[in-house]
Amino acid sequence: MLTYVLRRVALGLTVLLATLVAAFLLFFAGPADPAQAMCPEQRCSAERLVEIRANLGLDRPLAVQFSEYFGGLFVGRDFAFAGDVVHCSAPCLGMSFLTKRPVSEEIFSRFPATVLLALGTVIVFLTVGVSVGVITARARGTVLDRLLIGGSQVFGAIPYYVIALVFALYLTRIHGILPQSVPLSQGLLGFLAGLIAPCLLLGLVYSAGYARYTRSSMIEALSTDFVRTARSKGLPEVSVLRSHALRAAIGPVVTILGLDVAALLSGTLVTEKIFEIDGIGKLSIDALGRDDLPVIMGTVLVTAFLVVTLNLVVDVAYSFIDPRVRLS
Amino acid sequence: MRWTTVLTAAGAAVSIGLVAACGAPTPTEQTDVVQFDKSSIATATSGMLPDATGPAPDVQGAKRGGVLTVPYFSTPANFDPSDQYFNDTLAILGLTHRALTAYAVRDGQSVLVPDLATDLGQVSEDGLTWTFTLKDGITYEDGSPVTAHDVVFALKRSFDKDLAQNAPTYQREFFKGGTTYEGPYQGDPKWKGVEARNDKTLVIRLEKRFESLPYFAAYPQFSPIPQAKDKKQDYTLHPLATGPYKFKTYTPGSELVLDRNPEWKPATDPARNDYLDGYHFKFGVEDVKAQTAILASNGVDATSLNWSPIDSSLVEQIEGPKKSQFVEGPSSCVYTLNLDTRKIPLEVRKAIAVAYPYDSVRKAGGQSTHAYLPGTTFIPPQVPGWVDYQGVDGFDGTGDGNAEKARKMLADLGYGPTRPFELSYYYENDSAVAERVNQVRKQKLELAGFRVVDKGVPAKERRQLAGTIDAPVNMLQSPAGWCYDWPSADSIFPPMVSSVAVSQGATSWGNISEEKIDQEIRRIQELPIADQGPEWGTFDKWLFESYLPAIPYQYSKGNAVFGAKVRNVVNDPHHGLPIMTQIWMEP
Repeated sequence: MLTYVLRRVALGLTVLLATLVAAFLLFFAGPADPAQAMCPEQRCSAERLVEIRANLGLDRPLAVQFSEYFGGLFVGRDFAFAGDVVHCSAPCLGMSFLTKRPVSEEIFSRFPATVLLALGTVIVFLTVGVSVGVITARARGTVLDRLLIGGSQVFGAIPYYVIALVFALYLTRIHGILPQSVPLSQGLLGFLAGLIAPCLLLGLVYSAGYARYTRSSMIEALSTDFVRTARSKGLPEVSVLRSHALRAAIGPVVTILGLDVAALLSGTLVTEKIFEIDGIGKLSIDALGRDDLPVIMGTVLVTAFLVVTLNLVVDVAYSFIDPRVRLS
Repeated sequence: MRWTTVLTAAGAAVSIGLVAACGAPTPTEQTDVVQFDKSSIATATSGMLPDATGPAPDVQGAKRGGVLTVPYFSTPANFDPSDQYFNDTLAILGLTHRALTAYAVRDGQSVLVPDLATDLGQVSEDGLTWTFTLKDGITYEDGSPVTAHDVVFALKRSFDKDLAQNAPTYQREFFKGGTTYEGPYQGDPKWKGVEARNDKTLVIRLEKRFESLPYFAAYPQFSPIPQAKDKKQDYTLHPLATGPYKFKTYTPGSELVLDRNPEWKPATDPARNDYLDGYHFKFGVEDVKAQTAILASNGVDATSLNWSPIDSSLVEQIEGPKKSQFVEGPSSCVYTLNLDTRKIPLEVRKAIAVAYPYDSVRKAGGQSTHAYLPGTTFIPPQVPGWVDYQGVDGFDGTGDGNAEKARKMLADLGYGPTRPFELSYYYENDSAVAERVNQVRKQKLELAGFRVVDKGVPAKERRQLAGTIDAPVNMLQSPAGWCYDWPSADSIFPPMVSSVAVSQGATSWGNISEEKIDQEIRRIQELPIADQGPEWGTFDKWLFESYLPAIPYQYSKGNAVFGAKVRNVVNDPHHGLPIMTQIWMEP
């Protein structure tokens, strides 16, 4: 068990390092000039650009720049600003070109909003998606099965940004059926009320997929010997479904759940932008539009970290759910 | 489409210390073509009222109360008073930060009045020393008194290259020793460009005459900052207020909430009313969605306002049933077709003015008539001294291009089918709209007998190439327009057509370098500000007819969409945004 976990951790760290190097090369050795990106609307003179490059340390060898960035992640970094030395505490992801504030501050302050959105969405798609999957697996071939699965296919086929915009506009603004989004700074309750619409929408969209995974896994599980045994023992159907069939079928769902939670935690760009939720997704998409390289890089790294960590969690959890995995 | 792709107004005018105040970046404007009546624009007459006193006149019927929500597309970098130049942050800081002077509404006009100062400044005989005296009893939001030392410190702070990176640079150009002064943290502590004589009086020393200094003194760089409470880059999180409102919460990059400042004294403020209880600015919001929701006016949307150009999908609504929820008016920008005078002869430039398909290009680009006003002069109509003229017969800023007339003009110059005049420019090839616009432009210019070499490059690359003075093209380089910083053409012509730009390797209108132009600019700049208006008007016409360095063809407009409970949204013609303090709302 321990070797299994350690192997997974080592693999995860390698992936993280590779991502860091790749992102760094892309942004700081790529064709876009970070100094130019730091000057909005080309208002900097040539001398100012040279100064900025020196401030950012862009005129030094790549390896040196990278080691500084890497070191900053663990012990923090110092930047010169207005005659002072400003300390960017660990993990230092650089300073935003736009606001000149530490990227880590910008990302972590937006975490609660994204986490709550992710949580709400997971609750919706786990309850709706898995339940629909179980129901349709049990009622396989019936009209109910076809309706539910067919309906979810159609729903999932509409481009997300269209459905999100229409949903947001008509349900929360033009007709006010669901509450509008409220910033977290104005109170938790208002914010949570405003999350109902996006969590519902995003949850339902994800549910389409989860219903299908659960359904096919369940169908397989329901035809196994041990389920037949459980039934023949006289156990109530609910017990058979939940404690025996679902337990075996949940594997693939857990794997995908890990990846989806990672994606949700790194911010759903379209949802956050359209529903005006101030999370990491909105930060990423805004930074992309402004060439705010440190923020973009910061969000890439945070996302990579979340994906790797959650993958690890899923792998370990998997081995508890399905002991057969541990042995391989 | 970002503001910069439509109007690269900066170029490298930075090198001569003058850059345009840019509006907030805006998405593309759309639709068809309609004539607009120029005479309906309010013209500021003298532009200045040195004797104005507080309180500001009441708005008829206005009620107190309510919080205005303003969601819009762009995201301000910060709210540090030393760093501001964009129109949106100027409008916002105008609520919380008083400067030496300010713009006020008097008799339906936007005029300059004294704000923290007792008048619009006293200037010495030689024009090189300005003295401002502060009013009594002015305090910050925390009750501490405002002193002249604070204004001096704030002005010094606007020289710091890191803190004030995006600030206007007039102070560097005009203040004595300003080109080398590095600010209060790293600069010469004995610098005397600005000095406080005592707690109430400050003195500004200049390198050369600056008759527009009172206008410049309305910028937040002239708003006091107490040195003891300066927090450098953290000051932006809560800059101390002197205006009717103060910062309640500010999340950089997301939102800003303002509430009332109890220390503000209306009797001392000729420029501001304070009907609303507060403001809530939200950044990075999709304009289309915000505007659609605001027009529907449910819940919070009924008390919201969006100041970006109206989206084409909503034009029908605001021209019809929702007319009362939309306001438009003049804004401070003029759009030009830049022509390289070193490569295109004057008479050919005139032929281009006649041949260019202005309305077709607007239609292809999806420009709504609510976003622009066709024009023929460099100076926008609302500036005092504006003269209306048509510099070339057959050019009026509209139309589909008169190919026949242009061909004749070219033939008279010896150009024809066997010897066409070649026009070359860069255009953006990574946007469907830009491609469409280019197709129309190229087609019509070729119809007029020109040979067109259009070089397609990605948008970001084009922005950079457009500012290169030795690029292998002869038109449509930067600057594609200019937004004046105050209602006097001395904030238009010196940065755009004096030879300083070219001498420093930067692009300008026509990349022009003419001693006669420089002389005339210098002459007019030294006149008292009240006399400059008509002189610039004459200069405008002369510049067009004798030099035509660029073709001015339209002016920008300010738009505002607001909820059903919002009242008295008045457009500020010098910034293209609503005058925030005139707004009130129904309960």
